[in-house]
Amino acid sequence: MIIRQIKLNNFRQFKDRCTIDFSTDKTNNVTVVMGDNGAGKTTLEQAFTWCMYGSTNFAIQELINRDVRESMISGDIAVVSVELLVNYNNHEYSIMRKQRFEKKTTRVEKISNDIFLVKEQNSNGEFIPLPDIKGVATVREFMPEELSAFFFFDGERLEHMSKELLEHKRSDNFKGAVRGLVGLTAMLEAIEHLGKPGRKSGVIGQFDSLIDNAGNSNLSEIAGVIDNLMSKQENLKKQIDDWSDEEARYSDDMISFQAELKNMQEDINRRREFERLQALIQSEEKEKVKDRQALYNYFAKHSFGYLILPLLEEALGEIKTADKLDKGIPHIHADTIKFLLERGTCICGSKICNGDEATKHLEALMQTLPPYSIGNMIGQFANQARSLAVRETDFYEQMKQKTQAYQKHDAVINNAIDQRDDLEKFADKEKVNSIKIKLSTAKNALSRLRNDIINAKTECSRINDKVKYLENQRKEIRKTYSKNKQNMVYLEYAKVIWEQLKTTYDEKEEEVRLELEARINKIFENIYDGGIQISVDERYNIITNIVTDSGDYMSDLEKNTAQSYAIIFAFIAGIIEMAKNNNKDETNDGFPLVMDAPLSAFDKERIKRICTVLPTIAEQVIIFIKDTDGDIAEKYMDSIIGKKWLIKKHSKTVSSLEER
Amino acid sequence: MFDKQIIFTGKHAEYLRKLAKGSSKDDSEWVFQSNYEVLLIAPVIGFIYNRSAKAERDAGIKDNNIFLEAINRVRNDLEFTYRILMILHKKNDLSTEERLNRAFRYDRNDEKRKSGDEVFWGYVLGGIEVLYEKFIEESHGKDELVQNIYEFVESFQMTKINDFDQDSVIKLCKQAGI
Repeated sequence: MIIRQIKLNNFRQFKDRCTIDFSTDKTNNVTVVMGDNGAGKTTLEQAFTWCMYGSTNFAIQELINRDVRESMISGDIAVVSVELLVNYNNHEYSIMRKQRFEKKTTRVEKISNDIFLVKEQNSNGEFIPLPDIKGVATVREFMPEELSAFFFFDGERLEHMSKELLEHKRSDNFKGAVRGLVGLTAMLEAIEHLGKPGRKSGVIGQFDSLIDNAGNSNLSEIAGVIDNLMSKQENLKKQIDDWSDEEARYSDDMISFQAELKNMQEDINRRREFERLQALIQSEEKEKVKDRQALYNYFAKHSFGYLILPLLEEALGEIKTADKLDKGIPHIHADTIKFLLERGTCICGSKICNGDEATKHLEALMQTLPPYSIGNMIGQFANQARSLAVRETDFYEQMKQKTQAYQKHDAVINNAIDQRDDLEKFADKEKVNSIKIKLSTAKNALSRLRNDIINAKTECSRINDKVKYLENQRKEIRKTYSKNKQNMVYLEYAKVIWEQLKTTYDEKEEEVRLELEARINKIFENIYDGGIQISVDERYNIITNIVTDSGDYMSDLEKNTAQSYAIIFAFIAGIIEMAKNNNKDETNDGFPLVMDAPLSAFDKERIKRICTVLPTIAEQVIIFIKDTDGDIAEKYMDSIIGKKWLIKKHSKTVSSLEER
Repeated sequence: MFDKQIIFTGKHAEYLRKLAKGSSKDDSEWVFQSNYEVLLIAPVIGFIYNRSAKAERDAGIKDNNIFLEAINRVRNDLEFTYRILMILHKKNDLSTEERLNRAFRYDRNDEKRKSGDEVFWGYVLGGIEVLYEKFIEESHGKDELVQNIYEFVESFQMTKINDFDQDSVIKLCKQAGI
């Protein structure tokens, strides 16, 4: 089925008549309908389902445009209609559903039932109405209602399924799809009609009770006990199912808590490292100040002895060339001699008289003593020079070492600062504790649940044994009554038929489930990433696993919206593929996919892949997109877009359609 | 000689204040803790850098004194520097005798020492200027100051000390009669 056109008349926001032509081109098979939130994307999408099957899932069931309704006066009649023009097996059809409304004094009421009309185009180009029942059957042939939800896929449903996936719930959507694809509705109804053995309802139950009625009080007593046990077992099984769901959720929680904690542990380690570096920087800064002051002090105290060094040799050389390095008598001053001469007595006690030899000698000596002679002074000078010459010989080395030691701190500090600046994010200690508490709660709940499940299972099998025993007992008693004979044969037949149908159906269902699972995985790999395995268990739990390089599975997958959407896209694409495959007589020349595509949940690469894969699986793609996503989608699908439409929102109650 | 307090005036008073600012309260972490530490090396540096300056007066700048008590701490070394500078100053212009007289003979004669003192204090002021330029003007921040001090020492080592011959100095000292 390919949809050529949709015509809306007063349908919700679409006041008066609105028409969209869809691209029917085989290559450019995409029609993009862009619209803001609230403009009417979901409405438009629901118009398809309403037209074909008469159902919508609007929260408010009223279909008539609010402006139209408000403007009606008593006695007015307004019409809401949706018409689809479709091509099926090379024939053109018109499918139309109409609902009339009448204003009665204050209220607007629906007039009887809606009108549903399917017309087929004849060779003259005229559309000829099909009889009512044929019309319904024809639409079913175009697309079975059970599967329609996957071909007309709205945003709400997408969110609902995504939530199911993220919260690890059993997927009723998946189950429904598999049932729809198996297609053996008659068989399923037969199974239901026969009724499960042990249940009161259904054919089997009725035979059971017929037999019992004919029996004695013992039999009805046993039947009562069996009934009780069976309903108890049923409840237990339901309980086990619920507990298993809960177990899976806690298990998921635990994995995510552990991962979070691991991340936080890394954060804690980072914080420790940060603090260590911070302390290192501080202590290095302190040491640096200390070393700097030590260097200053050393320079202030020792530089004199060092700076003077080159002057020593030169000065001493000068003195040497002056030949003035004469010696006086150590520590004897000219004043000393002057005193001796005036006293007239030498140090040795001899008399000194004016003009004698001793006086002359002493007078000559006086000239070699300070202040007349500088020899002695030079001696002291040389003495000082000698001590200076050896005092600061390692000054340069010391300064070099001290400067290097000082500058080394900078290297350590800068390195530490770089490392420190790399460590930014920290975990909150309180948050760590709260997660630890959550983790231990989940652990306890999990172990309690597992215990409960084991106990319930044990109880179930105990009940089973007891029921078997009771049934045998019943059988024995029943055999003793001849009038039961006939009914017992019927019962056995019914049981066998039920068993066979059930086994066949289950096999078929499993086959479909596994095939769908395989297709989903293949498509998912194309639109998302490799290395993720999606599995659907017998209870329709959808589980995602990471496949490691060594081929092992790890169930610790970080689920996110993008991923869940990707799984759903893969799921829808998988169903379309299988529906196409089931259509072996090739009467159906294709399936349309009408869907909301919240592309902003994905990154560019994935958008590209989704935009490439979906149009190759469905023959026709009608995609509803938010303004913000539109540009991206058009960028990647540009070569395959046949038509572009815009839903223009005029007010809360009125939108219109424009081709772009 | 060096028997009374020394008064610095004008910009040299200010330079010295900044060079020995460890004594002021704003930043105790500094190279020279006291004026006398600067005074000790200033004449040597002035001479080595061949930099002499005249005292200036500036009513706007407070004088900077070095008291006798502080001078006494470095007196021996100051006297030694004085004598060396007297020997080496204008080595080629003045007679050896005159230079040695200035170095050794006029310790107690303020009048005769006047020309020598002028030379010495000229180098002191020149040295203060050199130190001010290197340590204050050219150093932005403490790391740069450390680097400048090191470079100052290193260049001194390369140009002046590498040829220093300790044995030859000791030999000359012996010849001078000790």
